Amino acid sequence: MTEVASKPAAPAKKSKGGELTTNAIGRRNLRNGLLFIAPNFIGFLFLVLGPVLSLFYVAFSKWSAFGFPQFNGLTNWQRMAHDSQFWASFWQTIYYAVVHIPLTLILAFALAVILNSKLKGKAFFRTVAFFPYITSIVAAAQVWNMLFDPNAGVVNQFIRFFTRGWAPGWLSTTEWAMPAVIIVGTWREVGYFMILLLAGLQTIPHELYEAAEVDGANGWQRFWKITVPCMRPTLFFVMVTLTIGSFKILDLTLVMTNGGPGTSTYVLAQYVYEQAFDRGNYGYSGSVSLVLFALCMVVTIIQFVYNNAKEK
Amino acid sequence: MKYTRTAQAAAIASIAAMALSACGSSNSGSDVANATLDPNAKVEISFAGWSLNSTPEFQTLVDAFEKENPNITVKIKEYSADDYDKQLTTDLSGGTAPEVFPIKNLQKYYTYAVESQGLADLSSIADTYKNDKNIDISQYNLDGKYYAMPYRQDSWVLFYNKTMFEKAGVAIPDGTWTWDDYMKVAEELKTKLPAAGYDANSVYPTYHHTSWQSVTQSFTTAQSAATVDGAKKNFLSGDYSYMADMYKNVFLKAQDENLTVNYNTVTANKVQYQAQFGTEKAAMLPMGTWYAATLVSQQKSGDANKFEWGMAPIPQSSTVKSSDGKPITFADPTGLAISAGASGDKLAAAKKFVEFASGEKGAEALAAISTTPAYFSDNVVKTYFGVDGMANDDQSKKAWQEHDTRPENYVDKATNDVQGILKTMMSTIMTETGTVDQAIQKANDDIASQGILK
Repeated sequence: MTEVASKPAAPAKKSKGGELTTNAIGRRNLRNGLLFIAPNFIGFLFLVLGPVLSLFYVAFSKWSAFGFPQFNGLTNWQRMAHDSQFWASFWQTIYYAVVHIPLTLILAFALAVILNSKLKGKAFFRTVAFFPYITSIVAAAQVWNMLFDPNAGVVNQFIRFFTRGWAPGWLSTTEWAMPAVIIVGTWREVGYFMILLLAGLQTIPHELYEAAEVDGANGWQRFWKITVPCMRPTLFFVMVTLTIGSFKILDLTLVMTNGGPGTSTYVLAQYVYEQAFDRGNYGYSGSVSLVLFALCMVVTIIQFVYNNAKEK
Repeated sequence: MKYTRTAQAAAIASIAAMALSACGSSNSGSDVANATLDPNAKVEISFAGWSLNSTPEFQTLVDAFEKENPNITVKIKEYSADDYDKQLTTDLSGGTAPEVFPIKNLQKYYTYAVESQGLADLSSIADTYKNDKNIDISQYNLDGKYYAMPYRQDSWVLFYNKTMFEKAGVAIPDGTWTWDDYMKVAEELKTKLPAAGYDANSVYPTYHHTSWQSVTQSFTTAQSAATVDGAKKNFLSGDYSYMADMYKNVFLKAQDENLTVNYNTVTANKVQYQAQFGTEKAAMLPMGTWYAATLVSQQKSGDANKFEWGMAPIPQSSTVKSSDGKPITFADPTGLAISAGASGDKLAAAKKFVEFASGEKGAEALAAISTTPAYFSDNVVKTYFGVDGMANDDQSKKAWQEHDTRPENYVDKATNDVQGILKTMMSTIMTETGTVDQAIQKANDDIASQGILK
């Protein structure tokens, strides 16, 4: 915001001597700045910031969407401490994030490095890798559900080829449903993050590698000593968006399993939705979403702190 | 500095605006009892419905009503079937609900009636039907007041495929079954169906549509006491050990013995009960009477196989009998409510419409399109079973008409939350990630520790 505000634009009031007073410049800059951000900011203010701020009150209240939320202190929070479905969805969200984040990051980075090298048909493979990201999630989930069918699915037919008949039950068992969702989630997002990382890779000057090669560094050393440090800003951005996206996972579990079987793929975002719109507990739902908000916030702050420390 | 102050002010203003819009309409107490219609006035009222193309009941009711009342026009406002309650909540909260709108089931009835204050008191309409033996309005009774009147009252029955039973050489349901009898017949079918030429891998004796929580729980609760009040007490007792036997001896057992498709497959593959029974993959199906209309039309269109079928009373508990001797089953009524904001001629017209929909004439119009109405007079039964393709043996008629139907959702402020916890309990039991007793104990503890019944 300050960046926009500091740019000179329309002429401002001049003092008697023809020079701008400091105050006038400040006012002019503020006015222009506000005008520039207004179209976006007004929407943000009423549709995002307002509701988010009101959440801090709603989360401590009882509210059925009718009338005004009734403040009820810590009742929601005490309830949450004993709510096994909340804890189940909390740990499942963590499970998804903890496996999905490194898996996606490693695969996306590996793909980006491979597709940044001198490879025939690079453009083709880049497009292929990006494709899942632009596919409709509902359609993709349907196809994956068929592929994961425990008996007739292609995935298990392939696995049985190696295991003499044993194969996981995927979406119809509580143990394998989450891994299946993670596989699809990774498949979908790897291409997007690959493109971001690829863009980062291409900004690294070639001279660095050439110099390292002259100094006798091997491929592995070049990767760790040049590629990774130079990629830190991009990696940081990827990590933050990937983390927040993983904690907020909902669409995939909703269309693939609807949280099941049992509660094996039930995540926090779905619990927020269910409490509010199915059960009418808008207050309690607010408390749960505050937990999700705090979770994203804490992890992101840790990443910021770590990144700042590394940059020094 | 100035900027941050402006932003703060704007943020506060936006919260205030949201708070104001949330206040919505409050019940000004529409006087339904004294609303009278000017016979010469042209009145237009609005009426909420969902999925109008595939749900003809709304248009059918409106057409029949307008024919009788040429001065009143009823305009249908379409809602989404899946998100009906969410959309209605928004409309009620914003004070923009139509004059007449359906209450889809009883789960949200308490919230709408007590918390939203957006529903007019219909006790004066209830008085006309209170002592009428053909209709049961008791499920909407809230401390002596009524905020909705039923126009549809489905009930769960046992659908069975006569053709499959005959081919397998198994006796069809005789109307006296307990759950033990039901399980014995299912086991018998399991051995005899393959011998009659049905594929042993894909054809099951029965189909439990366990995507719905009600399938494994609502029979148990309904049949846990001789009276509906007793059943409600059990449901709100916080102790669900009364459900253990049915889970162990019927629902888990059926799944373990491969008498039905198991829960994980039903939920993961989104199995359709219509296809399961309609294409003869199951010889029996406990299901609501709404399925009869679907089956009739699917047999006509070819989406379902051609076979003979019937409805039998749902199997009963071997220990608890209804106080009136009828088979105990469950299902929520679908009702109509009038907006508390309606007044004058519109209110009078809305009242007339609701009276019509709950009464015999509305019921006959619905029965003619195979929709189960709430009013079960002999004429209505005749109309319903006169539809071409409908089962019309005496047992089907009796099963459809005579039952002690208890709610799926007992009306109480805790209903939503109790159902939520029981749903988790069910998934633990049916996925077999915990034993029946452990899961029930957990549900009891959760209800107590979260203070839900307080």
